[in-house]
Amino acid sequence: MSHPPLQPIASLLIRRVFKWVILCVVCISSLQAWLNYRAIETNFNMAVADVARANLPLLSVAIWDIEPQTIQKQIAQILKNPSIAYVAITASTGQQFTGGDINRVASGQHMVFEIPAPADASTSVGKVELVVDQTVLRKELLRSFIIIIIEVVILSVFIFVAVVAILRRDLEKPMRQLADFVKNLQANQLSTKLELKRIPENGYNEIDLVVDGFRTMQDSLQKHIANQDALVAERTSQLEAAMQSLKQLSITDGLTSCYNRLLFNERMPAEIQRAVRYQRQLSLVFCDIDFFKRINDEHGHAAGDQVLLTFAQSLAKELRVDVDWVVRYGGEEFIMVLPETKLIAALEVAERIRRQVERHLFIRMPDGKVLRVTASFGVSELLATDTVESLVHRADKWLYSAKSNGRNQVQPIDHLISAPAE
Amino acid sequence: MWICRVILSLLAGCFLLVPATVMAMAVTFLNPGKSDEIYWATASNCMMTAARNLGVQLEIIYVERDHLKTLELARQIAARPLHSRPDYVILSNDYAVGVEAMRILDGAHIKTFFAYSGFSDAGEREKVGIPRQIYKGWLGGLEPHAEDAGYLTARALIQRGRAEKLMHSDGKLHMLAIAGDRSTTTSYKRNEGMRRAVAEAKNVVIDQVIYGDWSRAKAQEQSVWLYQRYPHTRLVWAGNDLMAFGAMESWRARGGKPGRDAYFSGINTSSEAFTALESGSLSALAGGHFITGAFSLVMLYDYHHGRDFADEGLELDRSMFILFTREETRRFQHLFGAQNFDRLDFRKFSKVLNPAIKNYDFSFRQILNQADLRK
Repeated sequence: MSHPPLQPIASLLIRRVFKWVILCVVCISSLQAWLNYRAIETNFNMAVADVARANLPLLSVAIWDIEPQTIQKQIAQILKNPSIAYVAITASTGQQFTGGDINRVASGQHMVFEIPAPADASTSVGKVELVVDQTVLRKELLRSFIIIIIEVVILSVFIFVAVVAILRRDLEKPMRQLADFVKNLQANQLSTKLELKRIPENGYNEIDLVVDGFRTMQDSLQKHIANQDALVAERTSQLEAAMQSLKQLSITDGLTSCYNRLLFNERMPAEIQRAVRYQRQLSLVFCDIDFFKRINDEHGHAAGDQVLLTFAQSLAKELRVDVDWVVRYGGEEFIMVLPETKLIAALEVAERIRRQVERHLFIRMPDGKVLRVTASFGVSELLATDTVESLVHRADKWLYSAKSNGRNQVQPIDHLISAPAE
Repeated sequence: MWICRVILSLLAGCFLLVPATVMAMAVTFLNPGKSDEIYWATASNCMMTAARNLGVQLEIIYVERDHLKTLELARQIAARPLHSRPDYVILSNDYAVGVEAMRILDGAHIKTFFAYSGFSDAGEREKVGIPRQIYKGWLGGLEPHAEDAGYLTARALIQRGRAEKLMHSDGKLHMLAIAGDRSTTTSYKRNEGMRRAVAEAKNVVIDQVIYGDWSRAKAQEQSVWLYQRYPHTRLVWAGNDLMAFGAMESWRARGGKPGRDAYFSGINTSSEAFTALESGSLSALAGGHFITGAFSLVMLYDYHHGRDFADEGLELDRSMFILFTREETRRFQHLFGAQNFDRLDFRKFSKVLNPAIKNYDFSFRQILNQADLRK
């Protein structure tokens, strides 16, 4: 997964802020510089005029009293003002006094003031011409402009530093911590508490809102997952029960509750394998209800089913509960699997069942008649070379033999003969 | 050298002439002028003659018109070891530094005497009081009644103007005044005298008074302005001879002839002034007050020898100036032309040496006469 390049909000904000700050700075500086220029220019002219006005009375007296030295001193005094480059005083009687730098006269601005007589202001004793040095004005302007620039730069730097510091501390760092935390959060560590390294005195802000929201989300996720787990466990147990019953159904004959042929085919190889491995006996009794087709035909399927059920119960009653098992192999055919049982013992079991069926198994019909049922049995014992099929086949052969010999009997009969008669 | 120090040793012969004293009396004069200034050099020469006559050890130090230097010199004198200190210091209150100089010297118990200029300013007077009270060592003073100089020359100038019929269209005589400085008593008093003469004359107008700082060069420059400012004015009064010469030079530079188309007056007895007076370019000249220093020595000599001048007054303001006639000019030049006052004998003015004298007579006219007699 490729990420677009990271563009921190802080840098975006700084860029924007700076763009506007610089724009504002340029506008305001220009305005301020212009205003300064006007103010300085006015002040400058006023200052020069003030110098002239301050010196006029003394000059007036000095000229009136004809004190050339004093006039020169006055000129020196006026020239102490750095913005005045050159001073020329012309007395009304023609005498001229000058001072300052004659080279700066050409570029300067000339200001002429009449010098009134000390006693009578309406008459003039001469005039003073001041040459103002504009370079001083320009220097002053440059100086004030530089000061403004420095001010603005310092202000901008402070704003910049403050914005950067606040964004870093209060936005970028917490956000990165939050992002790292979320990225590294494992599903099984969902309960890990989010702790940001922050300076506490900054109060409660948006970051805290996010953190609190995240914590709330963590809590509700936690609760939700716990509920889901319980639900899954419940469903799983239900499913397992269903599966169990389904399995039971799949291996059980629906009518008689005996195992079905499917189970037999499934279980029998393992049964044979175990017997072979441990050199145990295993016998198989194949039985079939005599004339069952006739019962069905004469008394109906309900009666047939009743017979089948009752017969199956009779079989189960005679078997060892946890060891032997009964399978409904076909319509009225049942196979009893007798582990740890020799042929002779199996024949005895079969005989006992045959007698039990013969004597006790009857069904009272709705019409009051009693229906008697017998069954035929073929028994085979597992041989070393046997497969499931051969074993079943041999038992089936003996069943066929029993059927052929008149039914209601157990085959092979010769084993029964040698057994003590009842 | 800005200080010219002249120490006069007493000649052995002089000792025989003066009455026997245990120790020669020592006097220092802080001369406010420059050593090359004719007037102050004349004053010094005359004082040296008097000292020689009277057997006084006289030291003259020129301040060279650097008035703050006066205070420095007073401090130096006060700091001298006892044996080399003078008994008396003669000061002139030029540029209002007299109070401070006297205070310094009085603190060192050196007696002081003001010659030429005393205290005329009310503020100064309040500080110093009268002699021998606040400042015990301040013995008194002698001034040449400087007002006379201003008055005499101005009056003569106005008379000359009238005689030449220089009245303007307004029917009045117009006059320019080049005064000395704004603070020295002498300057102030000469101006006062000039103004008194103008007031008496009634139809005279002073166009402007300017201050030339006793300087020939400055007066020359200033007068150029004045002639432009007041092109019709033909009378120029000056506070001393040098400023009159300056004004005359700039007048000549304009193509004028002093004494013919414009009239100048001056004060002082320089040979140049006498020459100008004789040639007619200078119309009025007053002088003779250079003698003040020499007479001050006479007064101190008498005081030193037990004849206090207190009975005539502590601060004497005696008329010394004379307006020189051509005859007096010739006589002065004949007698003292080479700045040589050896023809004078100041012992004749001493009350100690001449018990018959009851009051001092300090007029310069009798000096001329006295010198005549001696010859």
